[in-house]
Amino acid sequence: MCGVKLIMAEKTALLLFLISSFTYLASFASVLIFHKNERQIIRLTSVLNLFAGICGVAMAAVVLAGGTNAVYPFSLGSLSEMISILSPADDFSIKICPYAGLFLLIIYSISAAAALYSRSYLNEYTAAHVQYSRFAKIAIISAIFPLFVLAMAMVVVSNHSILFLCSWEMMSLFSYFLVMSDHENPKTRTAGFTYLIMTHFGTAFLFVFFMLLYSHTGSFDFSAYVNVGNRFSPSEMTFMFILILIGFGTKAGIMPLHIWLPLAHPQAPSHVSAMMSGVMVKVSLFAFIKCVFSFLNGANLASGVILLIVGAITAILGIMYSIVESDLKKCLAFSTVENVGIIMIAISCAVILHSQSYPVSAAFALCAAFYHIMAHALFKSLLFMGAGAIIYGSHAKNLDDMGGLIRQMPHTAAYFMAGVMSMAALPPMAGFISEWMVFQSILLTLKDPQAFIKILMPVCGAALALSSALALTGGVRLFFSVFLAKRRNADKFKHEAKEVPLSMRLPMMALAVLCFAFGIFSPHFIGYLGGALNSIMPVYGLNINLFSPNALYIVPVSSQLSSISPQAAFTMLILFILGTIVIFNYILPRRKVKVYETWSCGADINSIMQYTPASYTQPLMLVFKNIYLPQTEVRTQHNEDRLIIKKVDYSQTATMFFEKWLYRPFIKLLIRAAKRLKRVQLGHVHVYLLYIFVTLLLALISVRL
Amino acid sequence: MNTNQEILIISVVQTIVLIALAPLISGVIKKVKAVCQFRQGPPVMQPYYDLIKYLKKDSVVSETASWLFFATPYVMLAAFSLAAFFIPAISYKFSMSPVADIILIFYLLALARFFLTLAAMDTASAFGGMASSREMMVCAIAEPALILSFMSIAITQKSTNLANIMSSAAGKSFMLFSAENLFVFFALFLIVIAETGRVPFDNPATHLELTMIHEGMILEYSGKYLAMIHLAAYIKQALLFTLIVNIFFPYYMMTTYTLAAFSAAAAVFILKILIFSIIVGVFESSISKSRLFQVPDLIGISFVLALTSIITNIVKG
Repeated sequence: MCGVKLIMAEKTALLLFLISSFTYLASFASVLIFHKNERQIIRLTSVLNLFAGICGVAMAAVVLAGGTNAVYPFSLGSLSEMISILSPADDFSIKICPYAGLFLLIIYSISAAAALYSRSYLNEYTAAHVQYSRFAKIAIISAIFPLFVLAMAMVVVSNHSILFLCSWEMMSLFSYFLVMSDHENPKTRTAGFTYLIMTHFGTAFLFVFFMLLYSHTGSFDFSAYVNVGNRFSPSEMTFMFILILIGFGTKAGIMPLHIWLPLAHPQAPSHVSAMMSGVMVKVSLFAFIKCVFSFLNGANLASGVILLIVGAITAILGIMYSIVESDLKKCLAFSTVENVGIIMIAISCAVILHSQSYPVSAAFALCAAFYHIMAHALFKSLLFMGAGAIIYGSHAKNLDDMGGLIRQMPHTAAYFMAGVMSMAALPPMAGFISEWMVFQSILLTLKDPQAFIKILMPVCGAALALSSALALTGGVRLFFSVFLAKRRNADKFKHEAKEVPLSMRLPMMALAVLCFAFGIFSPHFIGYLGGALNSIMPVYGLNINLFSPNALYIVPVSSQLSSISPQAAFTMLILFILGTIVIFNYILPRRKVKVYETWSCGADINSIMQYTPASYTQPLMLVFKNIYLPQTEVRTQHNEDRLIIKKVDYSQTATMFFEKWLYRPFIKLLIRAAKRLKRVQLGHVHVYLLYIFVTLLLALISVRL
Repeated sequence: MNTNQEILIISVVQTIVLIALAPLISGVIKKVKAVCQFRQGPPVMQPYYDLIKYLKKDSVVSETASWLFFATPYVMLAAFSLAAFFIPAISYKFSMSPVADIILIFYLLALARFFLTLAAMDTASAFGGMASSREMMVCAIAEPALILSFMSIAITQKSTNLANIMSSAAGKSFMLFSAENLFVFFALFLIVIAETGRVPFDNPATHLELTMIHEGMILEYSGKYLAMIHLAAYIKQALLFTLIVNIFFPYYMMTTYTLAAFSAAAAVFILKILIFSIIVGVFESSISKSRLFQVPDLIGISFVLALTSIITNIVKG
């Protein structure tokens, strides 16, 4: 470390960061050392990752609470010499500011929960039914997981564009390896391949973005990029904005670049899915917000409008595909796409408000984005862990094979319910508070006098309302098809479902409690966002009444516009529920309760009579048939005499709009172009020599010119 | 001037008034419909007699039902009563609305809907599933129109805080004399009809399972639990009526903390609600229930009306 004077909090933070990072490395090394014993690997890496995560959480808490804002340069002299354009003074450096602290908190807390969860969850892979290379699988998952977490942390703290891009690439590759852990399944290979292509497509745009920044500033250091946006003309600004929107948006899963996300996230082991959906997506949003507000000065109005439209489309289509999906984890992955859309709507409100000089309102909108990022990290990792537990307990992956699990898995059901309620933005959960804040941000944007914004914003508000109503549908659909009524296709499974072990329940319980706490005590938590906000958008000195940790109300700009007090409202909700219980169970006379079979017009009731997940959303598929473009298939089986119908199979699937109309034509075009180009490949050496000669000639001519 | 204690007392009393009044609204609507059809109809107090009768009965519960089925009536009743606690019915000056704005109130209704739709699925009955699925369809398309209507109101009154909306509207000339508010009124009227499950969206009087939405979901409830769910549905209806009445006619509400002022305001409030119930009853008698898949078109009308209102607002400046 160079001679930077460190105050106490910064010293503590740095020390904890180093301890955490080296523990992750140790965890990786331990797999190499104990490569003989799979159970030992699982146990050891789980403990080490948990410890590292807790150190990280402590570090992030110190940074967030203390408001430290320090740069820690570290010299990589040999590398600077190797890459000649790097001047020796242009050292790699990491910067742990409160804004990074916020995201480090998310990364480390979720990864600590995932580490604990993996301890029992990975035992599933030691089970006898995993035939092929089961040992290698455990070793790879255990070894790559800590590196993946470390790479994400490096993305967040790096303060140098080359270090940033390296960490970004590592994050992508490690997550790719984790997605591919189930590689003997052809679906996984397709998912992994799509992921690899899409993530590099996005990264290419980031390379262009950072090269352009280098050409404007002559530096790779992030500190030099602050407010570089001042030098851009409006069209240049929009161009730069689109570069990062595509670059980071691919990783975050905005439409139409989302196609890899619902394929890749579900294929990973569940605790990794939780990390990818809950955390990795947030890391790319971290970088996006940082580039927009810190480097591009909050961009301009045009960028904000583009982002708003993209966000609204992502939110609606994401949830629409989520509610017709039959694979449990795929449903959750599509819901991640939706939530990214909602976060993008909040960010776009901030961009629009900032560009129209309403800094106080812009700060509120950005806080809404931060809070939704936190809420989504909590509930989506909870839901993915819950999905892992359901699959672990019931051995089913498809919603059509589940049902009635609330009796065998009561704990998982309760935690999953907390997650689902948060996903559906119901009070008193964290998801509700953030959604409320996004609604208020949209209302704040209405202040702007321009007519097209005044029309666009309410329509986006309606889009958000639609997506939240559909999220409620999706939440109900997920919960009932997994946990309620009777199990469907019960004869397909040998064993009855069973509750998962304590080490898997514990992290889910912690996340469920946090979902509640972040709802009820939200003004308190929002109070700590001030520092994080200030490090990317100078807000100190503005009159913002949001950032007092002892506040009781959440107030967007002025209480004339609106206010809520979650503590008061939700305490009253609990009091009202207790009051109802007292009145109807103790004050009014009690009556008997008789248990009897469900009424079914006199027929014998069985599990086939129940509504299936597909039939539940079929009316919605008909209402929105212009979006879903449903393909209906009816297969009829007759008896031998062909007169009596034995069985009718009816299936209706939604057409994935972008896959069909954007990607398929593009791939066709690509293949056709490749076929044309094939004629150039003659397979004779002398022809290739000719090509080399011509190329060289052209190069020389162009240099001379 | 208005201390927290005063606000608390008024809110509690207002909640009790609203809950006590809620079944009467259904009774009045039924009576109006009967009069329109030249029938005598049940007495207006019939909903109260029904509730008392249900409370006296034992209940039969499905064997597949889990704890969720038992919890649902309590959550519904609590959520709706809490919403009644927050909505300024008798006085906007003494109200809890800084604690909860209109969006929180709508999400409280969504909380109740979440539990009810799950409870309908809990019994493994096909009727519950059908009704639950349809309820979700109607609410999914009604929600955007609802939010758009409130966006329009928020643009005119510059707030989503109900007390501010009402006090701002009370200070201006009669709201329905301006085009944008007239559009919003009709948009909200349609949504309120849809949300309360009335004709043309759902028929509360039917007893044919295949056509029911709300009744289908509560098919497995009986005895005490049925009474609670019915009461909750009455409260929800009263809430939505209060909302539309008080946003567009926020007059003669309580402004001073005296018993006389309170009684006068309460009487005016009850009168307003009953007049609105009569209007709903007449409206319901004059149309027939539409097919399920025509419901989106009806709500589409509401959506367009709300959007028109916003555009009118912008054009007027």
